[in-house]
Amino acid sequence: MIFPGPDLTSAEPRPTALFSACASVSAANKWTAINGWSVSLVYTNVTEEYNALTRRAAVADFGMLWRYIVRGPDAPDYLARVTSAPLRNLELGESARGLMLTSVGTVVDLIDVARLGDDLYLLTCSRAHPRRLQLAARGFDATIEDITGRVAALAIIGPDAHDVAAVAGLKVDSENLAAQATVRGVETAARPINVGVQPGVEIIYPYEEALTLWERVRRAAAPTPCGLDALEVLRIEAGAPRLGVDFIGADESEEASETERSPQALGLPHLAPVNRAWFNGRRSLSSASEPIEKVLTVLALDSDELNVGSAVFANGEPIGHITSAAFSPRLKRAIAFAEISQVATNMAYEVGPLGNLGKRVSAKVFDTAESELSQAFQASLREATESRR
Amino acid sequence: MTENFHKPSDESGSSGVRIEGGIDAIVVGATIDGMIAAAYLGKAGLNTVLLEAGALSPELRPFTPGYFADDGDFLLRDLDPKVIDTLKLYRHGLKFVQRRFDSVYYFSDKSGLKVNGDLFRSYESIAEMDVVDAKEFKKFTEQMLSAARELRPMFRGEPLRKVSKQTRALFAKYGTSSIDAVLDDFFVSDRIKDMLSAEASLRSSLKPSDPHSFLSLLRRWSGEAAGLQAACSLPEGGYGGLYEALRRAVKKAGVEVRDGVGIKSILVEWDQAAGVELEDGGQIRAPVVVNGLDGRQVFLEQLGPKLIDIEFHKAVDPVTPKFGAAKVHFALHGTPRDEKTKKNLSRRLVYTPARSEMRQAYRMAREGEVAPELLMELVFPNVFEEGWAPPNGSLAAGWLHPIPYMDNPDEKLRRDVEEVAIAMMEKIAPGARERIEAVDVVLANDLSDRSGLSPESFAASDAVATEARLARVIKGASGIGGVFFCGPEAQVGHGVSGVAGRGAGLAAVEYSRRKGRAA
Repeated sequence: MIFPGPDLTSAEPRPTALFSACASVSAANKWTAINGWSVSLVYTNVTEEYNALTRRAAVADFGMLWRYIVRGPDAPDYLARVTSAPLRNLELGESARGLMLTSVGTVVDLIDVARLGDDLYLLTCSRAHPRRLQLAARGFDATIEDITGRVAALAIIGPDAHDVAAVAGLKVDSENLAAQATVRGVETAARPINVGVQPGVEIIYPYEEALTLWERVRRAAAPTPCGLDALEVLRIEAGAPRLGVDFIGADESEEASETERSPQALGLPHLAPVNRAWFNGRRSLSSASEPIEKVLTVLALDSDELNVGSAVFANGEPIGHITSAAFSPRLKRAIAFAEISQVATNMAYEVGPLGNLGKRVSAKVFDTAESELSQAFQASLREATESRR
Repeated sequence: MTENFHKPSDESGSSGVRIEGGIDAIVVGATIDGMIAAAYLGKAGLNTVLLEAGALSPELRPFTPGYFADDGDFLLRDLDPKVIDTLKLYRHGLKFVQRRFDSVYYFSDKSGLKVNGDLFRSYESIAEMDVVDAKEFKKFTEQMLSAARELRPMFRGEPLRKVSKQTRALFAKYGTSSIDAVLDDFFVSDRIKDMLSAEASLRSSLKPSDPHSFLSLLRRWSGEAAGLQAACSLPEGGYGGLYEALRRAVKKAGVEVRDGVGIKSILVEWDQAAGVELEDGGQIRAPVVVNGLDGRQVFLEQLGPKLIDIEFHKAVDPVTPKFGAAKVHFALHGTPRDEKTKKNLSRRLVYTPARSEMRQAYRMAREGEVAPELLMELVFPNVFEEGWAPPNGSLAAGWLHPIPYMDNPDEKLRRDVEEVAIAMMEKIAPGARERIEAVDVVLANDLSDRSGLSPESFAASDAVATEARLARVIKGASGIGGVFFCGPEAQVGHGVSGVAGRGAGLAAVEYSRRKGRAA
């Protein structure tokens, strides 16, 4: 799940293609800036929006993500270099998740690649990375075109997302494959996505037609508009770390420091499989011998208070801190991403302020979709190693 | 010897589309460093094949009847003593006809200064010019030569070991300084400043006022040739003499040499070297590939961007250099009659523009023009051995710096360089113009054409720190196991050194040992 953190400084964020539509239905009128775009945090109520996301269908503006069209005979090789997404055998219409890594194996970004045509791919990332994408293109017969400001991106998320898309006349033939279609004269590319564990459909279409399709989807099935705060709950429940919040991208940090994180440290080793084809940074990852000091993990707290920045304790000793948190209406408690010492994993935790100033609440590790994938991947690696022996 | 040394490619069986195995290591490029690496591998008992490519011809090149030019770096300033010792190069024929040149500096005010090749013994000659500065010069050389010696590993792209408190303090004070700033701290005499800044600037892309240019002088003085620090030595036969000695060492080490075998790509299987693909489509399989060609060829063409990390790619794909140096050879008829001139011909002659003129020369070179006053270094190899010039003639050979760097220089640049070279020669030896029979100007693209290496390999060297960083990165070969690099970018500074070849050879032997192949 690609979910960039908010801008630390953004004096005057630009309106996304769907901004006026979103603003017209926003009762809460709470906004934030991501990548210089204005994005709604809440439309009405976080719990209502969350319930719509997990029980029916909701619509969200995904115009804040960076999108590139990569085309040319070397497009798959180029993308296989710049990302760890498994692209070699990607079928037409299929999407793949992956990471963008530095040559030393630290995570730059979480990305998503969809194959839209024979030599045509859509790359979605949290941040722009113009320099990296340009450097990586040397020696490849591939062109990279930034389409971020030229398209509207509408996401329909929830168990009924595909039905809503179909009712609105959008062509989503398959649960897994992207499709291009013309809806009321508007060229669209609809592709299945997963937002947390919820299925969804993301529709990319021309900026000028932003309102046409928004209205069509709303009139056809009246899905609830959903802001980032509700999506944040889905994100933490799914165990997807947020760039700029839970970790600093390697290209964004001033120097190589402990803010730079490996896929293993982010709980995402399955997105950079060292036992498959080459990608930037794979060699460093496969030869890495230094133990990981800190890992990101999701904790479920015995509290409904959000404790971002609070310390995490094990056996009374501070072992890390909370990086992001949200109240989960489903779990009826706060859940949080915590960066904790690797040696203290699988213990009983407490969360609270440092020292003896405040109350500590107990917390335990919450198994997420990502952590399950990570464990399965590591088990398969161990199995492969043992069978080689 | 040469006849047996080369094994024709068709006899070796490498031509034709076939796969050849049973080889422990392949060395690509019979450059000085490539041969050193091959000899180290052969000596370690590895079945090694050296594919000849990318080297300048060791033969002297006639440029006018009776006069011969040497395209290689025939003046040695830093030939790794460990290479000489391990490969027994003296036993294989390496001889020095001049182990240490004394120098004569000619200044723009028409004065001159003779300096002993042993810098510790140059006090008297400098004292004749300026007693105060002579004392400072003694102090300066002692301090700098000691620091240069301690910092030598850094200039060779190797980790620093023990560094004294004094050197650490000196480095902290002047490590990022310009040579101009450092010289202003020590000396009053403009001539001493001009002389030392010329030594730092020769074949460097940093002008004397640029930050970090002081390190260029330390690097220059850290070198050791013929066992003498900061010396400048001439091997018998010039570059070819060293080349032949290395060839014998390679042969002695049991390395099989194949000439005329070009490679298309380095084969990599699962992040490990697997051999090379030849231009004819055949393959030689080996777990170790050492490459002495330039970084661009090795990493961007033979390996390709599909196999190297983005950051590594950026490091080995350099920006086009701005400055170059021209190699010049003068064919002079007649021989000097007076003893003073005859004696000077056995010295290294350096025309040293004033620092303001050097700044102008760099400025003009950056704009693509050749300045009227350039730094020129000359020696007369025919004074030491026959074969360079006819009995009634002399050959002066050396470098002219700085000139604009161009991938494809036009005739105008060549003409301008020739004119300035003659003008500088005239300043060193008034009246010499009348005796010049021919001038041979060799630019970076000429050396590139003659060697097969990229023209950038022959451009002026970058800042020491930048080159050291690049050398460290490029030797990592983007993490591909079994690929080792000893091309020009693996070396800090210009000229023949052999350090990169030794480093790659030893690393490859160690790698093979870990894999259970080398003894």
